[in-house]
Amino acid sequence: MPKRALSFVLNGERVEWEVEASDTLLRALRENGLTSVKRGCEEGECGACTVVIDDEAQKSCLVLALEVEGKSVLTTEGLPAAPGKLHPIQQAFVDEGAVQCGFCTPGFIMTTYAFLKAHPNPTDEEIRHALSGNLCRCTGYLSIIKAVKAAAAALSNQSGAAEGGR
Amino acid sequence: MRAFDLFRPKDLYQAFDRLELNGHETMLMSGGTDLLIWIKKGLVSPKEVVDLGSIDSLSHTELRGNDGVLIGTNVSLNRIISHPEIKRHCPALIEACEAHSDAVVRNKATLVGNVCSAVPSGDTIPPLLCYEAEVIIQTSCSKRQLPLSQFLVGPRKKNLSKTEIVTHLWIPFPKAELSVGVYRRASRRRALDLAQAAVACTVFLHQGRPEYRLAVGALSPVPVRIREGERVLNETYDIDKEKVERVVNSVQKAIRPITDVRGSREYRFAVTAELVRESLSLCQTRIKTEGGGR
Ligand SMILES: Cc1cc2nc3c(=O)[nH]c(=O)nc-3n(C[C@H](O)[C@H](O)[C@H](O)COP(=O)(O)OP(=O)(O)OC[C@H]3O[C@@H](n4cnc5c(N)ncnc54)[C@H](O)[C@@H]3O)c2cc1C
Ligand code: FES
Ligand code: FES
Repeated sequence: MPKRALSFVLNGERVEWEVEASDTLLRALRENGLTSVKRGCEEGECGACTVVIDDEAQKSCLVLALEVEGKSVLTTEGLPAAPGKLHPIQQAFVDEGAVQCGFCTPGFIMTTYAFLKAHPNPTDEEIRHALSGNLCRCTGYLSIIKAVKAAAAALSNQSGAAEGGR
Repeated sequence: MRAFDLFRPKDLYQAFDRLELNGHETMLMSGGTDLLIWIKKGLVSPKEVVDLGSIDSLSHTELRGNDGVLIGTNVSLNRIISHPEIKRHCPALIEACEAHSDAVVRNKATLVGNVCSAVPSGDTIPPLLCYEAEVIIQTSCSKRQLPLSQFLVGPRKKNLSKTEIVTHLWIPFPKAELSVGVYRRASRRRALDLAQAAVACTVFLHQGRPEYRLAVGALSPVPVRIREGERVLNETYDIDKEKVERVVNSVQKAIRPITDVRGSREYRFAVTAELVRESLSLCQTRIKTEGGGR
């Protein structure tokens, strides 16, 4: 089958790719070098492939590449951060020891990113619920939940400071 | 994944044209969370997938006052969960959506897709049976509306021809002062597992008088209403232990659970009894708390 043209915004920049009609977004992203997006189960179960599409977390193994035509896709490569720094969510995962083998981490971070945008002050219960689609074999989740709370605090400080400075 | 072609119609008419041209080689996709996995596992092998997700007119919910709500095929489960009117009128449906998969998959999986998958364990089907939802089906030149119970004909079998598309689901809102409802399911894990047994129970209060409806999932080839159990529940106002056991009995008589990887037949009978007891007790508590101690 001939390849198909795909145009979308990836990490803030418009890209034009050629993909197979049956390629998943996961496959297209990895083939184009975005290897933070992990290939785990490829059946929607593990969440390692999670990206943010138009502000919603999505498992990229359950999305066809052509479905993101005209949309905006964010991966950890594109998380906004000050030069030489990590994004506050990434920093919180490091600080709280929420990364062991690290395979699940980009997926957790993208789920957290979309979640905290919609729920800047979440309860523990809301965090657990939001992360229910991401699996981790190493950490036992407690450090991840702590990291999400720390990230929420850091992000609200950041936006508080920005507002205060206006 | 086995290769297939993808067609992304701009409107329904383009989609109908495609189905009329080569419907037998085509499969429709809403969220694709079932379809893509089935293709990957080789359970189905369409030459072409028609992605309804590209049709804007099917991406909305449309409230019709207090009569009900029309739900387009692209509406995700998370959008149903955050719809205040659906929550008020159809609480058992909200609980079923919340039991489905996980918070991320629900951004993609749709309500109409769950119904169209027509699997016995489809979480949203039992509550939709209680609310007497209807399926709206179109071809290029005709339209029909069918009760959900007549749309589902067997495991993964539905009353739908190759040139038809389910465009919407119609959920009539109960005409009642208060609508309470519960969805309870048994599964091996809380998230990301299909139900082994599921019970939906709804109660509508009409001038203080309750009307119960009851449906089960994952326990027969298609989810079903338990009419005999409803008759027992609705014959008098009060519900005592003896009545609850009569309802449990009626459910156990109506179901045909199987033994499979997710649980044995015997386990399913036992767990169903527990789910029915729990659902009835929860409904009564909610009538008291939400109905102001009626
Ligand atoms: C990780 C994971 C967890 C899951 N957990 C659950 C769960 O807990 N409970 C549960 O019930 N399901 C679960 N599922 C299955 C699936 O997500 C649901 O059934 C979902 O609601 C299907 O919706 P969809 O929009 O993705 O359907 P699709 O995959 O798009 O379609 C499903 C079927 O319906 C047909 N179809 C779709 N739209 C139409 C239409 N408009 N007209 C006619 N036919 C149509 C398709 O051809 C296909 O046969 C899970 C799936 C995954 C991957
Ligand atoms: S690889 Fe997508 S959910 Fe596991
Ligand atoms: S850190 Fe290893 S899987 Fe999560």
